[in-house]
Amino acid sequence: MPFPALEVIRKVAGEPLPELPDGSPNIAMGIRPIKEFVKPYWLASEPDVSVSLGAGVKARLQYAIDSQGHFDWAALMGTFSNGPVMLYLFDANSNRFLSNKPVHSTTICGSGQRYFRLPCPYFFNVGDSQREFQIFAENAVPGVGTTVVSIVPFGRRFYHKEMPPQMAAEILRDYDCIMKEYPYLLVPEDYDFRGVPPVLAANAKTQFEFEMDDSADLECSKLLFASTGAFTFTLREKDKDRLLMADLVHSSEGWGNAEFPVYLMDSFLLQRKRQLIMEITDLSGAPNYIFATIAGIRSQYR
Amino acid sequence: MPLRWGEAVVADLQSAQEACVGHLAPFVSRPLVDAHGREILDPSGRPIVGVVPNPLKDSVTDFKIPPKGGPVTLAAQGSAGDEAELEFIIDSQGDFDWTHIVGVSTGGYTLHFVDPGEQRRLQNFPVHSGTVVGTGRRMFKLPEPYLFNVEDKERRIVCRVKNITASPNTIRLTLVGRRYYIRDAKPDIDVLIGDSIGRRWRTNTYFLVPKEVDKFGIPPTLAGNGSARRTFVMDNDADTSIMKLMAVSTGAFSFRIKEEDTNRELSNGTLHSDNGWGTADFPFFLSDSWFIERNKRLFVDITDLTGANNVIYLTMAGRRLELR
Repeated sequence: MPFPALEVIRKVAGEPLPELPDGSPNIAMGIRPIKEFVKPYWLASEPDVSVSLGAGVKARLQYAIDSQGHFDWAALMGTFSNGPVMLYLFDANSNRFLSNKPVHSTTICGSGQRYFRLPCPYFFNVGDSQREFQIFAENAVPGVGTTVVSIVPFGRRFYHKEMPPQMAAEILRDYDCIMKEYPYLLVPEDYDFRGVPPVLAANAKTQFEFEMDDSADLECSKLLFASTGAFTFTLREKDKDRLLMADLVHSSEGWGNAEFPVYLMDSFLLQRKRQLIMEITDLSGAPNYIFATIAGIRSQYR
Repeated sequence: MPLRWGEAVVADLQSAQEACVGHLAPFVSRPLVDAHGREILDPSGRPIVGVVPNPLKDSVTDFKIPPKGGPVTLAAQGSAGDEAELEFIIDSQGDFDWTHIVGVSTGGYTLHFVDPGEQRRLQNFPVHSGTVVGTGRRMFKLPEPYLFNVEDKERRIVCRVKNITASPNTIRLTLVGRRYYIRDAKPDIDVLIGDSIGRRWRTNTYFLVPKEVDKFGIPPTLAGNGSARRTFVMDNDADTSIMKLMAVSTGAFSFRIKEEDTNRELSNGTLHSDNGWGTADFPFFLSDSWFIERNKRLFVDITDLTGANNVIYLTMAGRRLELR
């Protein structure tokens, strides 16, 4: 949560401020001490900020977070000169992927005007060393030629080494401890290892299955997609056979993208080893590639 | 427990506004009373609480202020009549809590707001309309509402506008906010309103523009593929908390931001303008408000990416914290 710049001051040097003439307690406003040590921060890939990807080419974008301060990653944005790519987000030090398969960049990369907000921040505790975050980008989206890609995580930096020790400890207590939950992206199991879906024939029907693995629950909050044509869909909980809608819904009414996501009215908890079935019918009358992504918070509390 | 990001990105803005303004709920709970003003008790002896309309709501409405004299048409840049002074009058009927800026124009222009009542400028140099003037669909929200306490007289805010296009420019500019009709309100309601909007104390909205601009807010043209440094200078009067970054340019550019005193950069590489600057409609929200102390300077190093001349208007929006 952003820290307000101001705070109420009730004591000076441990003593309450003198009472007001009418006997009521006195308060003052002051600058919140932590503000000096927290800055917005953009993370650029190194050594090159952008890479050129020909069709079918894959590259690894590396992001080094130096030991100056913790990085609280909150949003993602990017530029693509000639079409989207598939992205696989990886925390190298924790050996942790942030999705079950690569996801379409249109579903998770916003712009400066409307960046993609992670369902919850991802905290990189640098300790005394540097941390490394990686994004595997692959030009695997059908029909996309050579494209120049630049992807930028955005968040804030806690310069903990300059903070008073107690403040630094409080930051770790409040933020690092929540790493039992972190942002996670779920794509259907039916997609291939590159995250590319099977093509849906014109006017045809199919179903995709989102499945949560056995190690965590997913609190789903946003529905995101990219496709080559319109479609209708339903979502159904497999274990209960319960639909999340009364009838077919048009794709543009139920799915958004990184810049304008569809927010669920209440977060949907997809428990571990449970499945969510998406039944789809093409409306475009042409072959249709449907890249669907569910964004949520992966919780490992049990 | 920290708020989740989705809830929290504008929480700093909201906290500022809510702390000072508060949301006036349409209903409030209140103990029910009989004809003699005595509380009605339930069988267990506790007061029965009912829900009634908030008495403050009668005295508060949405309010829009166009300039006196209506829209203005400015001559092409460089000709006589390419600038004008717009005057927004807040009559003495009630306080005005200015929260948004909207407008329509046939081209770009620069603005310079002055509050004559407080002898206060709301920016260090004129700002480009594309960075602070939104539309009805996506209004530009001030980092903090600006309260005009009218007391027994009228208040006004003056906006000096200058056309920066080569053709005539018709400008309609409107200030949007809330009106508190204190004259209509009973004295106790007036006190309640005063408490809820923080009539006595506020920080205030402020726009920062680099010092390289001319007196009309127009920056030097950046040559194709050229580089330049833009310097944002904080004056000696107040600390500033920056919340949003906006830019209007004739082409893409790359940038890096650095604090002079700490020599600290806000990124580990050079970034595309699309990844760090928004517009009035869709501003770029910083992940945490950026606290800049008085007399400090910020450097924004920019490089043109278009290969052609590039005019880049940069604006930072935040709050002035005049607390020490």
